Amino acid sequence: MKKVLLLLLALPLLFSSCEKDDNVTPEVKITGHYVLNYGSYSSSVGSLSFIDLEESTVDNGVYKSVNGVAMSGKPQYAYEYNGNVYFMGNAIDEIFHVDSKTIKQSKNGVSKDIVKPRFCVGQGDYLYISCWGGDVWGDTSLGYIAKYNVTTDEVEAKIAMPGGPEGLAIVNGTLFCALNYASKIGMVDLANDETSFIDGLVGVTSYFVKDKFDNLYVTMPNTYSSPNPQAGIGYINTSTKMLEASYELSSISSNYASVMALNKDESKLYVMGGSWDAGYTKYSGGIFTFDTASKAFETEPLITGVDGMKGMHYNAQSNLVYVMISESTTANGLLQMYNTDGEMQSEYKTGISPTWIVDIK
Amino acid sequence: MRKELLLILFILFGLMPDAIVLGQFSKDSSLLNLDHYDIESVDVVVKKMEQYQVGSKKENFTKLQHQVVEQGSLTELITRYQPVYIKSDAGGLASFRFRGTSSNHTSVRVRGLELNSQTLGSYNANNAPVFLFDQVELTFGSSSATQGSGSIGGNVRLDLKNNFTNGINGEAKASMGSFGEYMTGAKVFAGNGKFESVTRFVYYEKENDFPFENTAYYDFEKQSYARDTQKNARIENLNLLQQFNYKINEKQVLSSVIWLAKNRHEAQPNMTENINPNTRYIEDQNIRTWLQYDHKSTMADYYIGAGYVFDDAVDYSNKEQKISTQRLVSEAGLKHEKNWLSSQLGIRYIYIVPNVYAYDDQVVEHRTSLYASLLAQPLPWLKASLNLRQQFVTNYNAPFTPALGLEARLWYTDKNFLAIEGNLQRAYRIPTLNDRFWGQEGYDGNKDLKPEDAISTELGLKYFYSPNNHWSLKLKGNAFYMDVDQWIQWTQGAGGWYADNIVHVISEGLELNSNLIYSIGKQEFELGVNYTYNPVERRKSKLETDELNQQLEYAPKNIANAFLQYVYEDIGAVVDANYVGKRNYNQAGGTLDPFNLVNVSAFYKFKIKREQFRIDAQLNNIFSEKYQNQFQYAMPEIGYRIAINYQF
Repeated sequence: MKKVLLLLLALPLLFSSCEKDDNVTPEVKITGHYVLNYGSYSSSVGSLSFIDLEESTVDNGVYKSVNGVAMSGKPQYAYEYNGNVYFMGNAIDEIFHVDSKTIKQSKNGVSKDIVKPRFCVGQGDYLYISCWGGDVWGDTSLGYIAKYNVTTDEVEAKIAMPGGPEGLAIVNGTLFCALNYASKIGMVDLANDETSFIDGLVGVTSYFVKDKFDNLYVTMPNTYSSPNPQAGIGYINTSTKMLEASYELSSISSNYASVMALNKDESKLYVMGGSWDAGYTKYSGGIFTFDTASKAFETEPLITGVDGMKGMHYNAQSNLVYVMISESTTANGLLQMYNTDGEMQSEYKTGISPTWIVDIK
Repeated sequence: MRKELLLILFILFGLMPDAIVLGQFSKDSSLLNLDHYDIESVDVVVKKMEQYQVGSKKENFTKLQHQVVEQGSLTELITRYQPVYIKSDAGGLASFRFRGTSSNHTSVRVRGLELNSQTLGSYNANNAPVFLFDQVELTFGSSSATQGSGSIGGNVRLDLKNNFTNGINGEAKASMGSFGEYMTGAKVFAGNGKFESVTRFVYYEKENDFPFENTAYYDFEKQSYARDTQKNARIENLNLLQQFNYKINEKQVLSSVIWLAKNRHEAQPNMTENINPNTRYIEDQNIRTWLQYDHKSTMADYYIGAGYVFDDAVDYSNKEQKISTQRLVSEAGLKHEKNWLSSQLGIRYIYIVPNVYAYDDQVVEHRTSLYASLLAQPLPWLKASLNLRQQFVTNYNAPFTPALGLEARLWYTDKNFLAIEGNLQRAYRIPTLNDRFWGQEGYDGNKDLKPEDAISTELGLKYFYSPNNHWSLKLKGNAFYMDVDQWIQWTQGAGGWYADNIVHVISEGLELNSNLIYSIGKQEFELGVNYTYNPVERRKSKLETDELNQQLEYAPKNIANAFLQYVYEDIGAVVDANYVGKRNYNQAGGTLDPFNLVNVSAFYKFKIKREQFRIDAQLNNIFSEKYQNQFQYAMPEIGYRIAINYQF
């Protein structure tokens, strides 16, 4: 009888514990990273590397070893969604996907209504894919968002988004769209696909990072086609749909790669920047730290003087900042891991031109 | 008997070029007469320089080899019969890779003119139709001391004879082949023994719409590569070459060449692009002229030459973007021979005016070279040469370039002949105009580039054996070592492409050439087998991510080819095979599979009244090998070609 009573007493605790678990995202142990390698512009072959953090090994031919053929080239971005990893292929303009557990591709890529795909985010049965639509540097009106149904693998709608749509983020039913060839930010109401814009920006934008308040940091780089004397990052209040503030970092990267990440407690935002050499050929990069409380960049960069810097990443589990390097497009790239004191901890050789890390859960 | 006599004469006169050996040795043999040229009457200026290149490996082509591929380009001739790698797509663009070097390490010359683009530094071997020339000679290894900047890996000489024809003769040729290939050409020699006009004309077109397996498009649902047809890779080449030669007297000759070329090709889409290709026409328009006066006397021979070259590269996707250069070239030399010593002094001047849209500066360049050569043959079995060259370039320091060569006969009998040859030399390459001046937004070129600087040495053995009138065997083995520092590499930085002195490369290897001839009655066989083993590696690099001690990209470690010819009176057949080993196409583990191409051809010569005709039929790549010479560029599988040649 005592046992039954104890069990009854314990029941509320059991239920409360279940409730708590449901509200907290379980921490997934990251045992390795997939690195997306763009490849060289001319060779038109991309690749996927797997870095095994437990064994400290790297396999630069993951996709090829699983599928028996090289990965279609110039993948601009990769995104895990609903058990698949979707790739934005730019050698052949296409969206193709692999099973996220096996990396096996079993279906052909989709090219219909996909022209120069750049980035994507998912919600429900849909991926929203930013597409330049053609030579956007000549005609900025070509851009659009492809509404791609992941169950049918078809583009169901094209939502016009002039200005070279690049990075995307979805907040409360609104798709925010960074525009790399227009000084504004696009928005799509996903309930009705209606578009609107945040106007009046000093320069173009590239990528977003969402914080715990569901607001967005956005990179605002200085580019060849759109010089921006106030280059840096912006902060978008997604409730008011306004650019609330901007913070200058003149050397912020304009690379098409992962260039910004929040740390685990979101006290710091790591931003990739750097400078060009005298001949304007080599980009020697660094990682700059933005204090999200004081809303200012720290005076000294966390990491500096990295030649051929291509992208960056933050590992919340190990509290390490990653730097991706591509000195040449015929040779392997590098992934270097730094602690938050800026000391290099380890280095891995990746495929050619690493740009994004894909953590598969 | 005559062969033995000739062999003895050959030995008595010491060492002579192999082509001459075989030419002399085979006068009783119609096959050998057919197959081997006498190069005595070829292009005077260049030959003067060649004499001083003792110890360098040289190869040329038999007449039959020349005829088999004269519908095609230099690429086809060389890759079929010599173990030299040429990186090429399906006919539009091809670049030499002698001894593991890159495209701008081989100089291509006709008369006193260098054909290499002054902007790119390389020459497109697909733009030289074999039919246009009388002979092609390859020099393996460095020859900067005699040939100037750029001749680090090799040198290709396109020869035009001065025949001083008396009367009119010539030939006309027409051919057609698979994938929309048509060629027509003519040569007309007219003269009175003193004055000669030689007109050469070649028109070539190819639709290049061949089927292939597209390895860039894998059908995951069918689990196979897609079959595809090459699109937008059309080639259309037009070449007109006119020579006027005038023999003033036995001691004085005036000769001239005017070569007009318009070579147009669509930039072949790679396999990925072929799915949805764009059309992009690239056209090379060239005007090349050369006038030369040669004078012989008892005291000294001298020559004076001058030429003008206009090179224009038109990209039809943006015709406003001009890439052209004009060149004035002049050269004078004085040669003196006394007893066993021969010496030569010369000066060469080039004035270059580019008009290139991507150069920020108004570039004009003067290049002057002073050179001196010494050839000594103190003993019948020993020959040595010393070449010295110093070039002066506007706002640029070129290195002093010496070269020492040696040949020595080791052993001979009435049936055997063995010789050793070798050289040690410095070679260099002045960075091209593009290397130094090609700019882009925020970047105006790299004017601080240093010249590439190479030390090159080689050692070779030549063996010749002829036991009787029926058999002759020629074997040649060469070992070489080349150390190239300040190798210029175009690298794609985050801000775009830029040139820099990036790497230090060492190329070494072994080349074997063999040739066996058997003739009996009216039947003649010839078998040739050639092989090159060539490790070439980056040893140092400015880039941390460059792979050191790994085979360089597009440099096969193994290349081999073989051919078997059979001729019986007026009919003949040739089977040839060439093997190209594995190549890296990047430093990250990307490799291209080895390939082996086998071709067969046959000919029949006949007369109708007094007119001579020849019909050729060929099957190329008879086993339909699926291969890539350049990563993701499709190459044709089996194809045919038929041709008719008319001589008058």
